[in-house]
Amino acid sequence: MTDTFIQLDNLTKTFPGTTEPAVDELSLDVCEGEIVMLVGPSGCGKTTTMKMINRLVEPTSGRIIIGGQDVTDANPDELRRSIGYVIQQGGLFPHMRVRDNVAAVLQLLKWSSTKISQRVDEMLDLVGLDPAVYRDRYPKQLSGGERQRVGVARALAADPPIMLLDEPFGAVDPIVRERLQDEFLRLQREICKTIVFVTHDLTEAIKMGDRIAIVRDHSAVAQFDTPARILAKPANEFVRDFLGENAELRALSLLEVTSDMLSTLPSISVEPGEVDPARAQGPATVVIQDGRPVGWVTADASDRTFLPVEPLVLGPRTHLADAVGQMVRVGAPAAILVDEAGQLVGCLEFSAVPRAVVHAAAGSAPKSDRVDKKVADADHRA
Amino acid sequence: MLTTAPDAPLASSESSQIRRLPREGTFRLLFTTPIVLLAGAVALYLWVQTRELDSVEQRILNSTQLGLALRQHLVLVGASTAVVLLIAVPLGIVLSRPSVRRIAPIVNALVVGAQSIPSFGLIVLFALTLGFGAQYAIYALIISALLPVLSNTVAGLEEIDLELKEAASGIGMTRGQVLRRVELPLAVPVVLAGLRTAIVWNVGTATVAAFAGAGGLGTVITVGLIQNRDVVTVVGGMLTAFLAILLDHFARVAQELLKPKGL
Repeated sequence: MTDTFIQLDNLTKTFPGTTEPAVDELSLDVCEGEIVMLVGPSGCGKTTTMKMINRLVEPTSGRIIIGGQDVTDANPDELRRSIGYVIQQGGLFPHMRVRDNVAAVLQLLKWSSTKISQRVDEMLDLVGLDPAVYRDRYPKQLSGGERQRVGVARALAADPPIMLLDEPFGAVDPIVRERLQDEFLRLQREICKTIVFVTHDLTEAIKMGDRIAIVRDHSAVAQFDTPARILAKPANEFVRDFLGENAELRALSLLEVTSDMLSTLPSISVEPGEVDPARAQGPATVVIQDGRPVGWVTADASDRTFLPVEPLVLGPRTHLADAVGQMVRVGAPAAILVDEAGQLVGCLEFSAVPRAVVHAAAGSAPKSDRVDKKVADADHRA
Repeated sequence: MLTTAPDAPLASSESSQIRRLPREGTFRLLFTTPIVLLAGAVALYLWVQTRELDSVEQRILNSTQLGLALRQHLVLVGASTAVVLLIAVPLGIVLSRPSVRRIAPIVNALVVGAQSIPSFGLIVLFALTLGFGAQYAIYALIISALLPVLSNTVAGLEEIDLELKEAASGIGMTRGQVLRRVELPLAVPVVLAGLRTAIVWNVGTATVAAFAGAGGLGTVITVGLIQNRDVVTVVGGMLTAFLAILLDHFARVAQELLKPKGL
């Protein structure tokens, strides 16, 4: 993992007129280029915590260190211009056109107007909105998802190294939300911002986060780890409760199938159009036709049946859940995995699945290629 | 870079059609009121023409006298309203700042108190204590018209979504920039609504200024009442009403023009 970029050190916030601190001695490190999700029940102080990073809420005590610099006493307005900020509905100014909304930070930074209009178009393109169509619209003329995109474009316009997102996709319907999440992840793979993302939606946290901080009352961090490890091994009762039942099942959709989990099962090759269950040898035999696996012959004592299978491609997008899904769908005790060319690589037996989950909980974080890729990028830049 | 088209096939849940901003028929807005007023004025003129005017009536119901009264009235209303704007808007801005919220109720009580003094009484009081003349009548008008503009300024600024103001600070605007770029533009419609109230109010109240020797259409009405000439009273009253409606119309047009687009 790369270096710490945002360091929150013993942050405490007690609002005037209250005795209980809203955030109590919180310390949290966010590495460069990662997405850290703050997730927890409402009222737990996660939004307050986030707002202390750009000092919309002034901490009562503690330090905020960004990129090695203590910004606890820096000029808050200048600090905020270097931190992208996105809230629900995008927080767009209703009386400004899309172009002026996106340009807002650039105007504050006194960019020239030609540079600004160029940058605005670039940003709209980046978030998938055609500048010619959207530049001159008012927020009211946009759908919820489009507003959200404009909000992201505005936050990114000045190319800040850090972005703070406060439930950015909370106000759109589930279908749009999922698409915005996917696009944001794709975008992040290119822009590699350091992101703190507040949500109350565990599913969103698992999907979006490189690491998740599960926050309880007074912003105490109950667990801070990768989604896979949190799901596979909740640190305490609070996290277990928060994750709900069957957290392990969610872990399956995060853990990739890797080649070391695979085993080799007996196989038979058959001519096109001809499957003879009787030729099967073991309890489950892979049937290969034209060099490609096409299904199973399973063998009970009494009868042998052919079960057609669409094999999974072994790669970063194939997770344990996909393999288990195939087993359940087909009714076979293992999943068939092939390479890009469709050649048999191996089989994932069901017994290997729980082993993989336990392995993930114990050690390395096989979330996805995202973190590794960013590390590589960072090295490349350095 | 994002490969999917924005809100493409799946987007049935999200309509991305252009929604037209509602806009009132410009023609209707601009011309209905003036046309009705013109018709009313013509009717009034024709009615006066059918009457045999005696010498008292003739002395006041002529273009010189009525024009003078109208001009004086406009000066009373214009000057007082302008000063009201200059006082009430900045004061309203100050009162809506979080740091002075605590004293806001006190100032508000003072202004409401001033408002509750009958403006007739105020004009007479100023005339008796400060002196006669348009200047002192204007002072009285200012005090009595302060409240609608002040309270609308405060309301207009305070009803702006807190999250929006926070978003503005969040992207790095200073307090002054939040005020100038976000709060004031969004408060304009409400402030102007208060201004319209103040103008109509002042046109009516300014008739009383005749008692303080400030002239205006009040003079015409007073002459009609004292000399028991109904035609004169009716003409004075009608002209005042026409003026109030016309100025309100102008303010309404200004409200449309200055209203931030996109709302």
